[in-house]
Amino acid sequence: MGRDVVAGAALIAVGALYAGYAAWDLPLGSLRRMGPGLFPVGLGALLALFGACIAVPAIGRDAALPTMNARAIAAVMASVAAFALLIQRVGLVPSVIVTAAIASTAMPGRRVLPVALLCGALAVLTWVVFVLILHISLPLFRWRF
Amino acid sequence: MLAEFGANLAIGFHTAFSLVNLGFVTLGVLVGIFIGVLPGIGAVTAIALLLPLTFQLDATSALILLAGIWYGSTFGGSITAILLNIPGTTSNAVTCIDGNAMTRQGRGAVALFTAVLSSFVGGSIGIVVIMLFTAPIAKLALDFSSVEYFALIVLGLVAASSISTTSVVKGLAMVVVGVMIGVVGTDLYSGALRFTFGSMDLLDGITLVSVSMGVFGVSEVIVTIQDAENRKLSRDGISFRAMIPARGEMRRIWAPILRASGIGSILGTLPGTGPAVAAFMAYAVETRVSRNRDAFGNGAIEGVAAPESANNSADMTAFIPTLALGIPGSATMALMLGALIVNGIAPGPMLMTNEPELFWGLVVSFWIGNLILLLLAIPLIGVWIRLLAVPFHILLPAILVFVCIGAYSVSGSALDVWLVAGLGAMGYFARSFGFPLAPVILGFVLGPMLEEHFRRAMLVSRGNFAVFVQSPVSAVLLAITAALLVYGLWSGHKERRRRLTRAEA
Repeated sequence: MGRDVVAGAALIAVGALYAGYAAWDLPLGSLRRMGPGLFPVGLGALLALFGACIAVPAIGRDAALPTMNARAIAAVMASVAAFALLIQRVGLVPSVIVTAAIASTAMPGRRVLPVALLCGALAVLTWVVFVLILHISLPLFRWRF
Repeated sequence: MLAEFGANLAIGFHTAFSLVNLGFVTLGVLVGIFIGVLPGIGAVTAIALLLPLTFQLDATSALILLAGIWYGSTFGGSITAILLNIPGTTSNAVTCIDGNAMTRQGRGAVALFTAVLSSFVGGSIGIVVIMLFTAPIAKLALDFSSVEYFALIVLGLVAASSISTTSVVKGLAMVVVGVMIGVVGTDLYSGALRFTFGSMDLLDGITLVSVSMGVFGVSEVIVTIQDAENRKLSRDGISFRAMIPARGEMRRIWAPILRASGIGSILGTLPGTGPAVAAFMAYAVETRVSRNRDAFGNGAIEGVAAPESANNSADMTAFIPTLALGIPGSATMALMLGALIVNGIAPGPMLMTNEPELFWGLVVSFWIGNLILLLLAIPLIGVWIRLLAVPFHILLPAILVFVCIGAYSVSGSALDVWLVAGLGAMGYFARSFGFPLAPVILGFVLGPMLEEHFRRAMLVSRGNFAVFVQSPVSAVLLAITAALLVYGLWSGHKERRRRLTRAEA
């Protein structure tokens, strides 16, 4: 299985799921009086069609699967997810520190002290920019689980 | 006519020269140069990251700031292209060829001066084109009904996703993905909730900030980590002995600058082409017509002047379809349009009439911004170069923190941050598998308009598709779309054939 076959198959699956869910959940109506479901069903079908156009010609002569930096993906995803989990529970300062600390693990060879300094600096910087200058109301600390 | 033009210009000067807006244009240009110098972070990403901040501003200031970032980054990218052979943005890729060759000959300073001067002239010509052509184009579109608008949007989407991408089908698939994301939320016609899965936060749909930060911000960060691990910068060859080109050289670059500005102005307005293609075309044309064509590739000053004036004039004229029709031709312009919509301004042919301060203030601010580029860029070059030394392991956590707070602050919803993560992963995988990302944003911004006009056209025509060919305007637009598709598929096929035969040989 090569690059385009995998990508095309994924598009077919997403398109079919999207169209299927829209058809099941929403009234379709008719072309004359389109319901809220008709356009999404068309989109899903179109995506599946494009998926097939990508996958089928690539069968047997496909490019190799791309190499991915698993460490970078995991660290970046985890750092954004940590912020989503924390921001409403512990407030801005701890969320920023945790997010920045996890993000720092995305590249190899980081040491503890510089990372800690960077996290602290970012906490101060975001407080200045977002709370002091832009007046976005974000609680700095809170404890709500 | 002339009096009206003068009155409009006066409005523009009045708006743009307010202290606040002067501040924003300066800030925008400085941030833009900064972004342009930093390799790996393009103008789209920067604008996506700064978008939530502009929600606090009024529409005119927001657009002035974002536009400054846009053309500032194009110039900033030329600094690294010339001095370090690293194109800061894709629009500067061609500038590397002769610009860096000039640096290696010890004439980097001359190349930089040429780039600044060409950008200024190219930008100024682009601004004149905006002033002259936006109103007539908007007037044409005033009689458009939903049928014509649908055809126009389809043309824009197809052109933007099929020109200058490797695979037409992959570009189109990404457009559809963008439109699909745009469907989420309350259906305006029936009030039905689509793909909200019971979440109150999704009633108004997914925000532009989540989509752009995820698809561009997060995915670009991951890609840059990969690149940063195996990149080492050399910082030699920066000498500022002679800034001013010799008189003979000055005379040689005028014709290329004017030709390239013309090419840039035209290609800037078309969807899908934009500044990168404009720079490439201008360079290609000069290698054919220039009297000095043999020197190209070995540090010809025309090889810097042509792409740098073309990309800057294209940066300017890219605003024409966005402001005149409400139909952006690139992802960056889609974000600008989003900034307008968030501020409650309806884009479309009435924009110039309804919001003269916005339009004319913006256009005059372009000029001020270009002047600031001319005055600020050169003395600060040493500072810009030092920025390159900021290591990515410091930038990376800073960017991610900024992304998270930006997405969260739009409506105080943690779901928006989760969406950034999810769309970021999607964007990264799509990119690794060879899919372009700009069409996602275009599809997302234009999707709701596409559906609205399609449904209205179907309502009026009683479900008859023939309505799209019965209107002559729509028929012509769709014929152009079809021609673009056929051309894109054919050239993609030819490219694959060539690669296959080369692989077999």
